[in-house]
Amino acid sequence: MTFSTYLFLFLFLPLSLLGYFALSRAKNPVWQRLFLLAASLVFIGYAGVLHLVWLLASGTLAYLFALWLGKAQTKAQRKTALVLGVVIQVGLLAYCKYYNFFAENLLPLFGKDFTAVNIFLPLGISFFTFQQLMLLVNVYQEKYRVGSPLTYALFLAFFPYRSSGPIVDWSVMSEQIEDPSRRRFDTARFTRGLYLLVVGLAKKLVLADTLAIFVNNGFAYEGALRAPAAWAVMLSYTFQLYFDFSGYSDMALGIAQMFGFDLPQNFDSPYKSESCTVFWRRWHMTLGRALTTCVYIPLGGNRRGLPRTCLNIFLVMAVSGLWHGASWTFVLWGVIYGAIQVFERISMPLLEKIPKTLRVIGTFLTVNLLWVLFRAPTLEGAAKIYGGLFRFSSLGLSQFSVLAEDGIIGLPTPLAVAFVLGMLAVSFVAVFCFENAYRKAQSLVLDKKTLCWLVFLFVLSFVHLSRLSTFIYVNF
Amino acid sequence: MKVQKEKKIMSEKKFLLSFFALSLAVLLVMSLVVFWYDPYVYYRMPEDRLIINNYRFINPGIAKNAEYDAAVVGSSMTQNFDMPLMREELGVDPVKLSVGGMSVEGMRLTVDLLKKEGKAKTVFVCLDLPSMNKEGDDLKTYATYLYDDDVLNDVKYLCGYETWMRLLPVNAGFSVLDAVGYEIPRFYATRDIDRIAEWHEDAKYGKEYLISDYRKSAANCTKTSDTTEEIVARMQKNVDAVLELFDCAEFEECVVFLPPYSQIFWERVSQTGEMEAYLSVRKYILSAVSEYGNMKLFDFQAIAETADLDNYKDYTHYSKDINDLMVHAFASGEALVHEADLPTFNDALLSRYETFRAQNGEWLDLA
Repeated sequence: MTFSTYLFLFLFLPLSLLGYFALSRAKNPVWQRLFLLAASLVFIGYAGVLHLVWLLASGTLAYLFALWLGKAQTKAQRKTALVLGVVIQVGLLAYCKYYNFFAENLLPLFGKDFTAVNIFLPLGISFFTFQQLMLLVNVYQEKYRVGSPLTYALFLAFFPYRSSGPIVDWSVMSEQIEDPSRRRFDTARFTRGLYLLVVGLAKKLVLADTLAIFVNNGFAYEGALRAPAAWAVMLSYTFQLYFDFSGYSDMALGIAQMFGFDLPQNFDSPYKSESCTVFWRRWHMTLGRALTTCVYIPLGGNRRGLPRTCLNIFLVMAVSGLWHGASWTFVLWGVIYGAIQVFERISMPLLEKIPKTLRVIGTFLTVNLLWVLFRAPTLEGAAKIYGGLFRFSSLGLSQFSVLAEDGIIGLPTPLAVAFVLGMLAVSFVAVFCFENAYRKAQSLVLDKKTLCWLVFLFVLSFVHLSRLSTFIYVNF
Repeated sequence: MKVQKEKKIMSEKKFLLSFFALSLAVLLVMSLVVFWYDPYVYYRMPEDRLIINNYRFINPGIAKNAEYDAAVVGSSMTQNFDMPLMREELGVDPVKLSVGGMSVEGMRLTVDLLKKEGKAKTVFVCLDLPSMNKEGDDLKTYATYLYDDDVLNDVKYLCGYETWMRLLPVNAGFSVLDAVGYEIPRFYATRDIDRIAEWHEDAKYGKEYLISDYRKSAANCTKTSDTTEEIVARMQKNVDAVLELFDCAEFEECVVFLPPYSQIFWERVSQTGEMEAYLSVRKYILSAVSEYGNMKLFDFQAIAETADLDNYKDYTHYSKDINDLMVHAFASGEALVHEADLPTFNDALLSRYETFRAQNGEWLDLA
């Protein structure tokens, strides 16, 4: 069940909210937690019972290891518990997500044939694995201990973030789950949540899913894309990915707020960044935090001199590439970001002399070019788009009709050009001229203008609901 | 001195109530507009109004609301059938419910609706062989919510994307242009439901187009990786699925026909290594149709017109003259085949193909 469906928005969510707040009158908070846990399990189980079984198995193991870590007396015992816990979690992730990738690349080295194996990929495995790794590392570092099994189960299964994050730390959720002041319906928090939910819906349904048409057609185009169409495809994907994932994150944060929980911000206007380093601090921020906790700091962080810091940065980005997907395009994408961030680290004093606007433009262009690698199914596919960016032999405007084609209605070239460029212009304005939705929600002005704007976005999103699609980051 | 207007801030409770009330009101008004204008003719047939020529969305409305006793079901091979001619020649009152590249599942949606409505006593069914040779059917391009009785999913029509972002604005725009006297090309909109889905007026026919296309696509023509048995099994499965749809009391007569592809189509089938499978499936169709009491089969694949490439816009799509010819044949019984013809069923087609090859071998082989 995804957020942007009739079933979720008009049945599952209202019923869950009603049930949850109806139970807020019960003296014992356990009933309310149990209800929310049950709702979350229904949400996950709707995708398939196996998803549920996998999550519970992986979560139970992590919980047991976290308990062991908390009770271990000696450093050796604690280290053993940590290493075992991490190996199990990473092993499960590696098996589900990377088995075929490694087998395909390693078996031929030993003269063996590779046959792809159909392996079940549990919903949100990349997200809950990191959540559990953070838990183990933080318990090992004695930052906190795990609490009751019910609180832990709710932390693990809480449906707003279960399929695609944000990656939330135990300390953030456990305190809120057990905070009695959050049990009652809070109109202010609910209003902020509703605002984020509607803005997220509009980002996803109106913008991302429309841009997806151009992107899918562009990457599937068998001929040689000319420069205008290739640039349109590249920019469309840049905006699509942002609206898709930040839209999802807004919805996740909004839904959680409606239930009374504050989740950490996941996007902070990343395309306005003046360097790739800053971009990664503002894009999928909770993944950045998880990678810092689980990879960067254990490797030594920035405490062992510049060369080691640079190596650690590089390794973190390589892991980030692999986290996003099991293919060489993702690895290369991560490695290039690693190299760029190392370069920025070394030459920051020099780079800072360049006017900020130029740095923002340069960063935006770099990010654009690298998203092509991220989206392309193969390196050849990426090369095809890159080649098109510089193919100025003719305008090839008729290619815009191909980009805008969605299987039902074909547009004549002038309308197709207007449609594609219009969507890109709207996206550009939304990204660069509007205030960040998260920040806006924190200081929401409840006037008629906001009301009309929100109703407009909701109605527009509702109209787009009949067009089905899934979230990109669900695949990661 | 300029006095700055102070923003009126609402309480959260008032804001939430206003949001839900206003959203509901807007959606309700939108629904009423669609219900009244009914761009897909889903609730009623209009008296005299331009209807946008998008059969994917219009067909369910036609099936529900039009008056008819016969239906033409199939792919683009059926889209140029002349309804008045069919009325005149065959004594039936048909509607056309065709969809370009109609898949088996697409046909199932349409036929289920026809059965439910119970108006069509005679059905004309095109068995398009390339469509039968496909696996992994889906209904992605069908507005499935228009085919059922579920009132709840009517919301996808009343407040849906295709309605509000595409068809309604275009349809309303056409109506305005029409009202001021601008003639909307029939390809985009029509007042006559008989002409929904027609494309023959905009098509360019001619041997030169086909030869040029044949030469251009020669490099991409590759042998199939499937064995003859695999292709036959796949096609037979789809043929069975289609024929079973019409095996019911609702349809008194089911006229199944094999459409007349150009002889270049058979040349390509031969080059891809699928000829044997296609010939085998043709025979299978004849024997399968013979088993149903309410069905008869017309075979147009060997008619002389298939060798005259000026009748075609591409390998498979023929001119309206050929559709008219088929209607005459339905009336006269010409091209009707029986189970007794089974042993020699492919002979005429093979003979036509070989003659065509002999006469055109020069450019066929050079490509």
